[in-house]
Amino acid sequence: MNKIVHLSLLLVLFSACSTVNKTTDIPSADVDYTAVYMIHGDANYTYHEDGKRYEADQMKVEEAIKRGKAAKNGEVFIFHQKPERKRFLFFPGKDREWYHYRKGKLIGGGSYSPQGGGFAAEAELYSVRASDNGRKLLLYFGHEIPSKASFRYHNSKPQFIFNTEIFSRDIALFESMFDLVLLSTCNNGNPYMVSMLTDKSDYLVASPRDLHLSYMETHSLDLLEKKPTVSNKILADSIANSSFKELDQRLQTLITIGVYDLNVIDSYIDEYASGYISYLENHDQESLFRDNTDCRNLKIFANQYIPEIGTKLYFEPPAFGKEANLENHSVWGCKD
Amino acid sequence: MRKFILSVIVLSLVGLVSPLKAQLNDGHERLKNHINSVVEKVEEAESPLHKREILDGSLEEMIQAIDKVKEKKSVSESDKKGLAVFKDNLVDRKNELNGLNGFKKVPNNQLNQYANYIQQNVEQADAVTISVTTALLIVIILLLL
Repeated sequence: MNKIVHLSLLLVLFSACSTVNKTTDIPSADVDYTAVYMIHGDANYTYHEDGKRYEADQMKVEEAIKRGKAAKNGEVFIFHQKPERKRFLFFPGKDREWYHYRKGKLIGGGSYSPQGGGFAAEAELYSVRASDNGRKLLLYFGHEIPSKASFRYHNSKPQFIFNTEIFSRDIALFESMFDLVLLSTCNNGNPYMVSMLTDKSDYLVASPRDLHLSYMETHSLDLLEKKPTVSNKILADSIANSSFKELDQRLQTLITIGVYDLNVIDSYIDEYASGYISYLENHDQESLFRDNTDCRNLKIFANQYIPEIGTKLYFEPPAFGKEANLENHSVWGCKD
Repeated sequence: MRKFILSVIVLSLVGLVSPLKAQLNDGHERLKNHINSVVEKVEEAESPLHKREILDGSLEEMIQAIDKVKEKKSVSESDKKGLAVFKDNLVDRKNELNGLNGFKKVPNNQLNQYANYIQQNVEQADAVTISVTTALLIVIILLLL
């Protein structure tokens, strides 16, 4: 009797630590596209609007699930990087969650633990389930991906490093080449990040300056359903344009959303990025998430601005503050 | 046997309670809630004079709270740098509200939008440039002021 009670209690204890993976067996199918939502939630993502509290990561997961259900010709992976909590003081929680929708149906999902600060765990889940064909999109939502390695990114796992180098390295674990990468983060429209992605994606949508936590939108992925032949250029521009319009309706702060044609930018960015990387090495950044400035304001680029060929910027100055009268901004953001 | 069951119950309680405790102690969350309550007060105030007083008083209190937190030995150097950035932003907002230090004074009919601007600015970055504990310290001092 005692043994049975012990066993039952141990089962209860360990049940909190197990990974639950739902997988429906469906034959592998051709899809027109695969969208990977990577939604960081292991930090504070609260914002308020009209007095109401929102959790940015949770809001984006809900939007991603809607997209998953609407993806009749594609598939959608959603990775929600929630904080890892230790259960009963000792056992890792496996608190991160994943969902896999194909042709509008949920065919897989469960919980998992991170493997380091990058995307190794997510890529492992993806690589055994993703379809081979179709367009590939990576959509990242979170705080600024730091250029340097010295800052904590994951609140519950501060020992796990995450930065531009790890991001660009680990997205290649999913696909060697993406059609589009969306960085719905602050300040990642910078020369270093862009140079690291030129051989990883055809197009990038990113903000060179701070971006509000209400994030960029992904309803524009509907274009892939309604007009499957839509070009990557039009898709990227549609995401940037509609995100800009949505944010502009609600925000008083500066809005900058850039579209980067990485094949064009590849011809010139390395020279400027290496100058910027040298500058960063000697630059003492006061704190993580410090807003960028226009790279044109940096002395290192004073004699030669970074070209803007192959880019497009949606820009609205803030309603108040020092930059309220700003008439224009380049597509390149830099730390000052 | 009784001891074993008791230990399991205690451990279960720890497992259940810790996430709740973590949320309540989240300094970033509390700081954002504080700023939100200021914005709500500004929007509810009827006269521009009252709106301006609420904003000016709240910004001053936050600046004072940051100064007090910066003096604490327990605050890390990196947090002190983050606090300096946060304070500079709040000082700018106070100056702009009152038309000082080269800023154009915020007009009476734009005070609600200005309160929202401050909130959006802080929430998108500033509130998270400092650690959870330091943010919590600011909130505690704000309650004591």
